[in-house]
Amino acid sequence: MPAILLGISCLLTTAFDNIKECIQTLEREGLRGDVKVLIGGGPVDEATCKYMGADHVCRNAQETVEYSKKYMGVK
Amino acid sequence: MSSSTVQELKKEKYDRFKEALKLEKPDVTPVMLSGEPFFMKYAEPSAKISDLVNRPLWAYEKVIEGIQKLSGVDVYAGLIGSYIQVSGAMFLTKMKLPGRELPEDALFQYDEVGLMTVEDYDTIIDKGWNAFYSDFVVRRLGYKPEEFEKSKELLAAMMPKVEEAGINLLSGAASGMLFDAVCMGRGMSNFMKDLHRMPDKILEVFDAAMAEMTDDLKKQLDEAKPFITAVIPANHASNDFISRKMFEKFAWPMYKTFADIAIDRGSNVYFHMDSRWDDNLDFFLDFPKGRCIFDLDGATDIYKVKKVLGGRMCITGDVSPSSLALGTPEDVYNYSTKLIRDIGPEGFILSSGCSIPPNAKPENVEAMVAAVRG
Repeated sequence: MPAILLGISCLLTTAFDNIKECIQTLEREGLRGDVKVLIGGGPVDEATCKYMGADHVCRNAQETVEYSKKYMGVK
Repeated sequence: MSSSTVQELKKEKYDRFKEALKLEKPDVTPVMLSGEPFFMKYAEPSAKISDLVNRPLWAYEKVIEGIQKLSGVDVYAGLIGSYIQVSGAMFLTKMKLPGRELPEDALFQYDEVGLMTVEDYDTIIDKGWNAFYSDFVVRRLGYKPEEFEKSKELLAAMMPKVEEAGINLLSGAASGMLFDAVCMGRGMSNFMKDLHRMPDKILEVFDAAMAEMTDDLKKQLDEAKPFITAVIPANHASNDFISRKMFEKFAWPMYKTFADIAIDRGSNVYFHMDSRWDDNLDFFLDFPKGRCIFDLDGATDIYKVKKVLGGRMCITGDVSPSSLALGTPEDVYNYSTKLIRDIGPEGFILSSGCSIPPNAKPENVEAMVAAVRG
């Protein structure tokens, strides 16, 4: 079964470009359409999400679990 | 600029900072910043972060030049003269360094290897924190005793240069890293399980460590008599990691104790509050009015902090690292102006959310500083 969600943790602004490259690689390999990309971590916000091309920002681990359960229809 | 003018300007800046701490309205909102890699590169764009490791005297002189070049920094909250090779020891972690494990221009990292065991808890309870710490960082983490000597020498070499440059450093004493140190030393996953599986033992560890740490802090305060004492809850006791109930049981008593000691001795407390603290703010109402600074990194809702702690303690923050790295000068200026209007102007210090990141755009940092003068 292919991955449904991909969570990327980011603690440094200097990693923004690496994560952007990671998401662009998914696109180049034709994998982007099948996976929801979540990002989180101290310096990450909506502007970062847009810059990286991710789908959703999670403020912390708990929020990531809540979002993922909802997205996957888990009760 | 003559040395007397430099020192007059230094005093003027520190007076501004003190007025904000006392919840008064200074002539302009004070600016407090940190971020050695940024300021080094601001002065010398060809510098690499590895210079802070490999030629620290040169690198920290560039940091000082960078702070002077920006000119609007009233207080510097970073560490000018930190010997980065050993900076992970206080958190019981190894270090990953640029030019060693990391690329030349990568930011140094605390490497949470989690070597601490449950048996180490017993060692702390039986022999005390200092006996455990001095053995653990050398024998288990591999730090060399001579590196700690070099650390003292570097700091001693830099302090006169900081003074001569007219830079106000934030703090002369620091405490409060116990919860984070044990969490990182043990490894976050193990430590979080320990909090549930052996809560009484963890409390015994904290009690044993606090007995020595509080004595050390009292000595430090009696000798240095610092105007500001840093108490650093930082990350792992925040709402992102543990519940309010667990915070109250395991973490709050140590922060309260450290802060009370500082305040009782006439010092004022700077709380460095990285991560999200929205659910625990009311605890900090325990301290006297106008004696504390609450420094936010953007994860906590600064408007909620204003509502709960405004009028009680000075609030500092929180221009986000993301906007400093990716935003425009207009974005940064507008957000900074909004903070000054909504959170200040009394009892507010403008700052970045934690340190300025190494890849912040210089024009964004300049826009932030410009915002205080409109």
